Amino acid sequence: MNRVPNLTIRVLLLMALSAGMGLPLRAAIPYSELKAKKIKLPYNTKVVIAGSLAEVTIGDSKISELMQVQRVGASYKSDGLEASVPPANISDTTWSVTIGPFTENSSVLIVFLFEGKLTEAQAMGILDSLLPSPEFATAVQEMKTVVGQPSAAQLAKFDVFVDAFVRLALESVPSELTVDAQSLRESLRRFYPALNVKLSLDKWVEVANTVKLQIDVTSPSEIFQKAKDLTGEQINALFRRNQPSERQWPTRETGLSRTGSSSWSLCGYR
Amino acid sequence: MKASVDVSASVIESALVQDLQKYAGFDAGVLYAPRLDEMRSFLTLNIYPMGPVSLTPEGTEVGKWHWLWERLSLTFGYSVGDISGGDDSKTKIRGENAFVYGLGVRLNKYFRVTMGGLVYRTDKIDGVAGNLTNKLRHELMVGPSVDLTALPGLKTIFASATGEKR
Repeated sequence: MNRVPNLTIRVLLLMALSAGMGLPLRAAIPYSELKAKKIKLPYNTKVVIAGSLAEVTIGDSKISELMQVQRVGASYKSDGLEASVPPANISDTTWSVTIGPFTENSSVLIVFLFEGKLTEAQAMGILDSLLPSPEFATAVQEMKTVVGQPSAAQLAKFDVFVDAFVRLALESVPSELTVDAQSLRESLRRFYPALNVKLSLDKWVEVANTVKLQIDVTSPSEIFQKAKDLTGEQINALFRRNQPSERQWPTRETGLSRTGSSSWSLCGYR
Repeated sequence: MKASVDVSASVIESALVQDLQKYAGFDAGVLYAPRLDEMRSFLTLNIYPMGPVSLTPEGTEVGKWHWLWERLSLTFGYSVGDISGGDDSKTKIRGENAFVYGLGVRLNKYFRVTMGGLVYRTDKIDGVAGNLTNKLRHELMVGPSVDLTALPGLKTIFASATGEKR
């Protein structure tokens, strides 16, 4: 009695399994295999390339050491086809991009675009090269000249300061990374009109300590007030040892410890 | 409030797209059966036993077995007729009908060499029936062929639609 239904069920299961095996597999292409050229992309279908940020390297560095990736996109070119995938947010450390479809037996050039923020370590590195710069010192001195003047004049000088900052930052960022200069400029400019901003850049404090100064202001006007308090000699002392030939910050010489910024704030404005 | 630097980085990778994946090929060619002393045209269906293969056979990059599976096919077909100009009354093949089977090896995208057997029913010789007339016989054969489904206009025949391995 049971044999016939069992047999029927078995046959049906076998048929379902066979049908299931016939369905195309749409598994993602691992980025690691794409990178190692171990795999060919399927044709006439969308291709999902998925990977982990740990697998992505730029030069000799892992991308996660250079930036905090927030979005991933891609552009690709193949057999006359040129298209792009707008950057989309990623969660955690895994990412995926869907590209294609492509024609068979063609080659594809894919440019993966990783967008995000500079890592704190990289930012500190930039700061290390930024603060000793004579151009930066000049920009700070210029700001000092407009203390007490109308805000329009202060703003103009602040713009010069921001421009100098951005230019120097661009020069200091690792060449593998592209900085959104406009975004950085606007980000810096936001500090000017903000009230109750606090200057707490560890580097600044460190330097200030070196020349027995304290910089701790709570508003833009106070920034200028504090700057006004600096004498020319103090400013010179501040930057004297930071000529291009001595790019390393002299903390070891002075015995001061590197405090390290808990969060990187360009110019120290928070 | 914190200033932050928006940065981006580009990573360039290149990749190849799979060649058209074929499950089978349809060939036309010429076979030679030494014992029959005949050269015959034949049409065959060549099925790739280990799954779809690339339209152009791949090299040994993936592995030696892969190299073999890319080339080897099971061949089944039909021999159409003698093309060597032999006397029709002398042929042993009844009605010119012969079944062809064997193994095919692709030399490149278009050409294949097939080795196997020719199965046919014997005909009368010079109109005279004998003990061997109307018997099923088997002869060895070998011959080159052209994969018609590798030609540009026909290449999608027996091809996988998407190239995704099943």
